[in-house]
Amino acid sequence: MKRINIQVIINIFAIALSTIACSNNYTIKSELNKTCPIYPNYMGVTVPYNIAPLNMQTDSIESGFVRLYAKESNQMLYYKIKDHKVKFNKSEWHDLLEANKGEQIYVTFVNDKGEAYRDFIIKVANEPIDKYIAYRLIEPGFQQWSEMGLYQRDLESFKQSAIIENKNTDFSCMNCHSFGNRDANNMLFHVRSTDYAGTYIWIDGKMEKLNTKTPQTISALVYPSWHPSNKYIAFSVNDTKQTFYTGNPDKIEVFDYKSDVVVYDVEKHEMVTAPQLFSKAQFETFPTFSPDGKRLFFCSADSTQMPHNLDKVRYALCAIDFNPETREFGNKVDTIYKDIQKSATLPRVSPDGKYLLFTVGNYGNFHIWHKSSNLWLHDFATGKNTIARRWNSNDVESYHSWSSNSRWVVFSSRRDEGLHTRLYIGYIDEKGEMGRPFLLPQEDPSHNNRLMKSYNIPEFVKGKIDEKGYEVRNADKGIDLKFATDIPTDMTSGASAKN
Amino acid sequence: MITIKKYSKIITAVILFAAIWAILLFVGRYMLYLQEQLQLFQNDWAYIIDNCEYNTGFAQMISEFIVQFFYIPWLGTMIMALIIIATIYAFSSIMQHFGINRGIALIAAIIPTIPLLYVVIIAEGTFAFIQYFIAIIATLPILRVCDKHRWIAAMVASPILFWICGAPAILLPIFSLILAIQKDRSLKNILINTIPLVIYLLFGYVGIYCGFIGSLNWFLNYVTPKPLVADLRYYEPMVVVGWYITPILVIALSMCKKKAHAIATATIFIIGVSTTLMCIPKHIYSAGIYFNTFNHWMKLHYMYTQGEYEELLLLYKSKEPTYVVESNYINLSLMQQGKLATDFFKYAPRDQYALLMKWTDSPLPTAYIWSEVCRQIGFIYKSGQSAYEGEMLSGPRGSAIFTKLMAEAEIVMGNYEVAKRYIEVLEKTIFYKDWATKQRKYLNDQAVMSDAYYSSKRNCLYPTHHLILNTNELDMLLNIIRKNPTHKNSYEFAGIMTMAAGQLQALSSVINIGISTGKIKVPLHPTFQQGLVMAYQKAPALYKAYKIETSLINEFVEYQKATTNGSNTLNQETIIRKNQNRYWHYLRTRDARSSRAHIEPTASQELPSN
Repeated sequence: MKRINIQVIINIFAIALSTIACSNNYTIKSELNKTCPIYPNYMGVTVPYNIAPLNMQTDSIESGFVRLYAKESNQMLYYKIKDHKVKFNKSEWHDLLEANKGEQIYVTFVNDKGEAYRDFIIKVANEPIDKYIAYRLIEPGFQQWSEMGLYQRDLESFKQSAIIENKNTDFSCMNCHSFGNRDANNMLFHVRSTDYAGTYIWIDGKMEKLNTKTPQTISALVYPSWHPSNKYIAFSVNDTKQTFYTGNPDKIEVFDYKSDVVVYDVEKHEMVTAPQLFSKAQFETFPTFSPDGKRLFFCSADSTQMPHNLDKVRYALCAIDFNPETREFGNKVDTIYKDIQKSATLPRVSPDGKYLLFTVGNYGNFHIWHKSSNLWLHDFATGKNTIARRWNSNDVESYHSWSSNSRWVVFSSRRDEGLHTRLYIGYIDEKGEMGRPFLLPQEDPSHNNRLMKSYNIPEFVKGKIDEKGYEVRNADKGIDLKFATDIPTDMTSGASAKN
Repeated sequence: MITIKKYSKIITAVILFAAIWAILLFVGRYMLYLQEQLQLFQNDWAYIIDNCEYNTGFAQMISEFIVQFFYIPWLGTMIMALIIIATIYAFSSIMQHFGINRGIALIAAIIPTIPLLYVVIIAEGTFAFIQYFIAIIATLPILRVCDKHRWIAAMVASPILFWICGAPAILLPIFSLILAIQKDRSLKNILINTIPLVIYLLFGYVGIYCGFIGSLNWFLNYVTPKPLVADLRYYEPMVVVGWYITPILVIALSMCKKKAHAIATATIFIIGVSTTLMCIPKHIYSAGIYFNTFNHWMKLHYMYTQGEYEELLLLYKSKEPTYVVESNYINLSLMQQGKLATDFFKYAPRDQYALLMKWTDSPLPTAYIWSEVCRQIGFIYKSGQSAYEGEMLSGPRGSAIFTKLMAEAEIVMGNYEVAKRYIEVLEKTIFYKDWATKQRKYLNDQAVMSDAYYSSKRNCLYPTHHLILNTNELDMLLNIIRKNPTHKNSYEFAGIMTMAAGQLQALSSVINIGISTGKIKVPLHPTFQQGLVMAYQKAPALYKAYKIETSLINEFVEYQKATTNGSNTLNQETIIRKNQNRYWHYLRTRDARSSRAHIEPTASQELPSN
């Protein structure tokens, strides 16, 4: 009796298996001479071989299948389209890409009648991407905010985890997260308002809370950039105002009444600066160090009456020498980019030192809300500035960061629907050729359509960042920063003179 | 008599239910409606999963699910009353498990429920109540597990329950421990049955709030929920009565022998009632504010959003509005009926803020009123922005009413992809789904321009590069009038605003710009004629140009004589009474009125951008 029962179970199991096998009939019966509209649009994109599966959805096919075909390795994989969505098997996807570095994957969408749409390619680059990116998720709001947090995303999977959320800090604002050499143990961010306000900085994993407003500076420290030695961090200090347009696609405007640049000495808890970075005649902001740590790039515009002359403010891209041994700055300021019709912000140098990527808009410095803003590239070898056409769109492209191997750039863009910023990742090869950027893949391809928050300040990180909520909640009152005593006397009145 | 005794349990339950339902419906309906307005439950798996990531997320989701029914007050309050009754009986049943007789158990269950009822109505605490409800309901079956295995069930269930409903989950390990002690007071038994409590603390508050678990290793990091500090907000005395004092009472009762039940009963009343009494001063104060002010404007909000404009105006037929927020709802209702210019001065306005209150950081009424007024007057960009501010202030998941206003603003501005996002969210709700689906057809220019409502709003848009910082409200209104002079509410609002502020020169600008478009004709609306009578009293030749009615001019002259002549004769009083609704009378008495203009429920704070 027992044996008969087992036999019956085996038979049922076999029938079930064969039924499943029969239903997986991936046959292309005919070809449609048209492309299948997909979201996200991954047609022709270049991806790293260690990226998570590029799951997609299409309104044109409710059920059917997708074929992935790699010519070189002669691999062919099939995946069902269920409810308009296709989700690839993670390990099969990684194996496929790993085996086809430098090659192309052909993707074919087929409907339930066996009609195949025109295939498209996904290019697989030879170079990997850093395992993590960190970003802030925040509503693209006006004055009020609700929940926000700093998160990290494992690019090889879909796992997103919180670094810190403002639910843990009494719904404070938190911003300007930044990493030293893309190292998870060297990090900082600011917490604004509430009892937790301050700058939280981790050096080799050890936290310090800093109170960064000094009598000499016009504000607490704002936009950061780490020195490659992790001994210094350049910051801007900004007297910033947010306001709105009465009828303009650029809904929000943020501008500075005043701004300066300082360099914070991590070991001595002191700030240093130079007249060229702390001038009353100029707005200086968005500092960033070169990979060798001997140059400091920043943006500078002639100071003017704000907001009256807001649309006339054009920031140039400048550089000044910096000696990390003596904390001294050079006397000469070099201009990297200047255009009387355009305003440059957010300079970031590739870790190999070949390129400087920056954002260019028509005016001002808060290009995340400027429809005119695009990414531009400065080639140090030729000294030429060119628009990064392959990466730009008709909408906003703004904040960007380089991967540690200098082959990938993650940037925020509003190209999807004009309001919520999303993260796109672009490729640039050794010769400077760019690949078509791809939207940060999500396990559920409709994720970006549902998410009512914007991705903000994407930064590559090489390792996983520890959750910071506990340390922030239990931080002491913090260290008060001060200016170095050797600050030139003509600069010490900076804040009061500007006020 | 026998029949009554047979059905006494049911009769008691029905009476309790009816009483609670009546309290919720008649005392709290507008407050509960407000709760619905400031949240957004979505019938969407991804939304549900997102919620459940956090401790108390499940309770929050259940609470939001229930709150959405407050949109229909009788239905929402009925559901809530049923849940409260279920909680009372579950709690009573737990206590009977400890050998306490039914009557005492029921009373002991009602005591902690009363303050929670208050929390539901006054303190927007449906979430807090649902936390408590889940904890009680989940505890009941665990207590029925046999003595030998109960501690295992409690140990497994405690951290899960903490994840689901937060702090009140502590009732489970505590009750489990008490029951074990009641049956066997040996040290071994006590120690074993303390394990669930230790596990609760380890995985619960100590773990996630003190970081002990979080930094232990990745595994524990996975199994502990994300901390939600907001959960701690409900630690007010009234709630503590329910959550923490009651278990103490149960301990007292369960440890007592039968003869000592009288003492135990007294203990219930002494501790329970005295703790409740301790909270009375604070809550009488807040309840006083609630009934005097909040409940009143919440009623206006309910009436306005339900389209009961006529009924709303009737409330002020014989009484003056006390708060500026009331005036705002009155004037919104007038705008809805196209009678702003005709009736504005009938409702005893005090100044221009009767049209649009100063910005405060409370989502309702400020953000809603700003968004709705701006929508009415065609200043769509500001309507969208105010709705967004309201959305942010509403809470983590937003609000259906603000999402609706944002969707509409984006359609008018032609940002169809963004509008689609909001529509998709609303389509996942029960009560806003139909509206949202209807808007889908307007996601293109052609449909917008062929629709009377949307095209009238679209025609009000005037693209400029002006920052709000550099522009005053009147300039914005004048731009709208220039762009779309047929948009009645813009023109009337601008005219009335200048009159209410006593800015007669600005009134002339509004009227002249209107006339210059060719769409506004003389003779003007009688109210505006009254304004011009005053504006041009030193240049009466202009009366003719604007075709001002002679009777109005005569009335003004008569009124002027009556009020400038020092003596207070009977005739003068008659003239003044006759001019009660005339603009000149308003202007003369405005300063006296405006001293009460800004008494608002919340502290007034100017929006920096304005």
